[in-house]
Amino acid sequence: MTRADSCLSCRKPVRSPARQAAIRSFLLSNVAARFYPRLFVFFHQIPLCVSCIERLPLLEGSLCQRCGQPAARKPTTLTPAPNPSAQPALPLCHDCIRFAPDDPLSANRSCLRYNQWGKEMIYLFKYRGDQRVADLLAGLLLLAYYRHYSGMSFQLVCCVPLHRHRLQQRGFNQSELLVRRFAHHTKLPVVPLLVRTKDTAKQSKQHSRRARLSGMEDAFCLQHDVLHALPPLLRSASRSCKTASAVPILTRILLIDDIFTTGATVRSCARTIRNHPLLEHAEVCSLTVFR
Amino acid sequence: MREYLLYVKRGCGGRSWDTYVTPCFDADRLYWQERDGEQLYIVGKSRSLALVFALRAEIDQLLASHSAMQPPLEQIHHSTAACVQKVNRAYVRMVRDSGEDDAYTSAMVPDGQAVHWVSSSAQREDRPACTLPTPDLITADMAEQSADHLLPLLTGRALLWEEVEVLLRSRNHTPSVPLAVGLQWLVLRRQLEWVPAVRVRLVRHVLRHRCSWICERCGAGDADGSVRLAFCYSCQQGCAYCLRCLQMGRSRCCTPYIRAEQQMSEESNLPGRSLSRLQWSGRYSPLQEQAAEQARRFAARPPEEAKGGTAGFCPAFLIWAVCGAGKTELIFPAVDEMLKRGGRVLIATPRKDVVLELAPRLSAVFPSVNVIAVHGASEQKWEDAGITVATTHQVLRFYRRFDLVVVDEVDAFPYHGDPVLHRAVERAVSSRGKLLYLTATPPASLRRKLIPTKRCLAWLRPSQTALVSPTHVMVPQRYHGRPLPVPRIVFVSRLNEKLQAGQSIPPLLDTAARSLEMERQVFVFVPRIALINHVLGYLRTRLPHHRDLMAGVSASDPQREQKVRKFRERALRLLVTTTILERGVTIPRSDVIVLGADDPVFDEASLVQIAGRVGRSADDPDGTALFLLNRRSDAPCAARRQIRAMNRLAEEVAVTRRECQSSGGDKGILADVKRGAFNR
Repeated sequence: MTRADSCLSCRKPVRSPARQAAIRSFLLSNVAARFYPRLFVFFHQIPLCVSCIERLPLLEGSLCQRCGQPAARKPTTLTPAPNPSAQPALPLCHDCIRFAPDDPLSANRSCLRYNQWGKEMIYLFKYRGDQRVADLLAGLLLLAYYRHYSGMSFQLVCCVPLHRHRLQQRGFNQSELLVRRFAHHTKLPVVPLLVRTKDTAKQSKQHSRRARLSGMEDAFCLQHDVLHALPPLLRSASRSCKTASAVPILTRILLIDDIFTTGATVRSCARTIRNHPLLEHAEVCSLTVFR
Repeated sequence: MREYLLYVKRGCGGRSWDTYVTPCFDADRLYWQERDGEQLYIVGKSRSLALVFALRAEIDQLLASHSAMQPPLEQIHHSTAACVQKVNRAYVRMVRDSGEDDAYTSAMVPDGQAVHWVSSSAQREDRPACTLPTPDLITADMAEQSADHLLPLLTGRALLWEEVEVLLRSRNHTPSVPLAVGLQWLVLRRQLEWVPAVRVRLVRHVLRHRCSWICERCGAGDADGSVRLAFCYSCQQGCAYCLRCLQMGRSRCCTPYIRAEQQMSEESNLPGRSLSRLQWSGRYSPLQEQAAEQARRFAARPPEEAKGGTAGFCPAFLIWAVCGAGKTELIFPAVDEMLKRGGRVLIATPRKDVVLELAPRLSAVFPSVNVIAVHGASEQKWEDAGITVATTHQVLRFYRRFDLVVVDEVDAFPYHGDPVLHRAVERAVSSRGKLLYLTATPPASLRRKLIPTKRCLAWLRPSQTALVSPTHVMVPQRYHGRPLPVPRIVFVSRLNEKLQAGQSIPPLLDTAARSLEMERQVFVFVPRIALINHVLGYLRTRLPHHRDLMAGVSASDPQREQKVRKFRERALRLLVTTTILERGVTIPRSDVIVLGADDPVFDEASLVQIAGRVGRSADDPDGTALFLLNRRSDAPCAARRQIRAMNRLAEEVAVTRRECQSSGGDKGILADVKRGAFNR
């Protein structure tokens, strides 16, 4: 049975003399040195032992510029997108090319490959309800954020909501736990933009890609009482733009979820956000732990 | 979302007052209308079951000294409000202290109100807190009927609300009235009790009040960080859950934990039941026979008399049999005796593979009895049977159910130093039930409890332990009658450095080489997984003739089962391993080497078990057990002492028996053996 200071995945004691050095070398080889101090504090509290930290399956190599899929998995799929406008061509994966012209999602980045270890962690988190895993996954989210999104400025973050019934049944929303910890460290405002209106079957129980995509249609809607509070928030965030108009020209919204598989959930959220006139031109990016 | 209502009612006796907690007040009203139509005074309601029970304890204290005709409602409301406020403050402080920062805390506990309590003082009339969907359609008869259906399913179990729902679904039981009504009816009939799965208690202190959280299922508290506070969407407020028993489903403040004691079965006195169901053709050695008979008598004794050695609250008995004495067969007569009396039997064992091996063996021996195997992934989890073979974690789901609980290998891994599983096992014993421990290496606490020692001039002679007492029996001899191989202890200085540097270690190499040349198999035990590859490489370079016959296996090895199977089939001849193979593996013609036996991983019990791997089969009762030590340490010497003592005891018994036979005495071995002494 689990003890308070044992590793979440292998149950060995967390504390060891080599831990500090291991975390340092792990972080320094994966993020820019200026982010190291804040990440170190976070990683030091994570209930994961040295050998498990070193074995984390990070997504590396050249990534699809849209969904963050590493090219190494399918070597030939990254091709420059068909490009009607004058923008520079992005190397995209096969799936994203299919979406390309009207993809509501600007980008997705993830931290880890979704392997057996990831499955165990997600199981422990979502179905067993061990909320210590949230600390761990939030640390990984921060790592991915500083790796991939450090040059971008976001005006707000929001999480993928759960349906009322599912929330009642599970007792917590896993993405909300993640986003809260994440936002506390990045000091970004959390805005619960979305509500889930359709109680879809669990994504993990649906096998075909098409079923997942069609099941997600109109699953979300915007939470209207939050929208009133939105303009001042966006304006204050983009004060540097010095625009006279009430609605800022460009906003970037960060969506947070635990897994990105086909991207059906995240894309559905992004489409719902961008369907609103106020947020029509918003750029919606997503950040997930597993890919 | 469930809400729980707290109300006060005059007790049946007249002058005293009782408090009740209910999730559906309508059911309670129906119930009391039938009995005595007295007034029910509602105190208030909350979504947190833990809070309601904490307040109930508070009110009970208040009412204990109260005997007036009217309940002191003013006083009750006043003290509950104060208590809720204190709990809230303590909760918020605990969240802050747990290292979470303010932003996070305020999101978790808005307006400083962690747990909500709605007092009924605001609304004078006793309006029900939650009405049933169709209150008119539910009658007392329907509730009664539903309760009668539920009782046989739940009796003898301790389950979370969610598990009750799973149980009902698996038995295709669809209650005609809401589940809460049926359950509450049983509570009012005092056949079932429910408590919050995580209980909260306000610890008053002069300076600061504190909350203590205790998991009702596993007994873990917040003192060692096993209970974690969190905002819960199921009850929409601050809640707490237990980390220790998380793998069996979340035990939370807002989840009811439902316990029902096993109802005494009426059929137990039927005459036809006293037939033996044991169909076993094997034979006992004389010592085994004596032990089995003792265990049977223990099972047959009425519970009042068997109270001799109390382990906790129920009578207990210890069978201390050396490794390879044939322990499983010893319990057959005791199990049979209990089944004759119409009792249920539980055999709890630490590992799933043992469960899977034991269940078919038992059902072969007791063909007319229903035997089920209960483990995490078992299909038979919710069934009812005469003999239940369960892993120790599953035992947590039983409540005062079994008349005989046999605990196999009390000192093995999950029990070892874990109070949770001891608690689970003792709780599974019914109010008239008994505990039977079965082990080769009883822990000191059990020895103290169950083995009476003769205190005769302790400073002159070592204290003596009888072979047989009302609370224990020893089997110091293996079934084939030969003594246990005594381990050889050899000191090798700088053992690890020598292994690293590849220097020669003669005791290790000579023993291994000799065994391999004599076509024997060798276990090499190491203290840590990381050492396995090291030692394997060392042995391969040092003994190149046998390099293909060696392998290393650890708990995290995906090929573990294949490798062990190959070792059994003699395709592998030398296995480097950790303590995972210390018990349960029987390989004829094998030897054992322990590298670094002074490591704290190896305690006395595990070294005795390891040495017990050697010489188990009748055609090869001897073998070598070698302990290599870096430095002096107690455990290996204690293990050797224990093995020697057992051999000496076996010898004494044999001598007594021979004398007895030659003198033509017909008293049976039992009386003579009683004189045998065990020196420690």
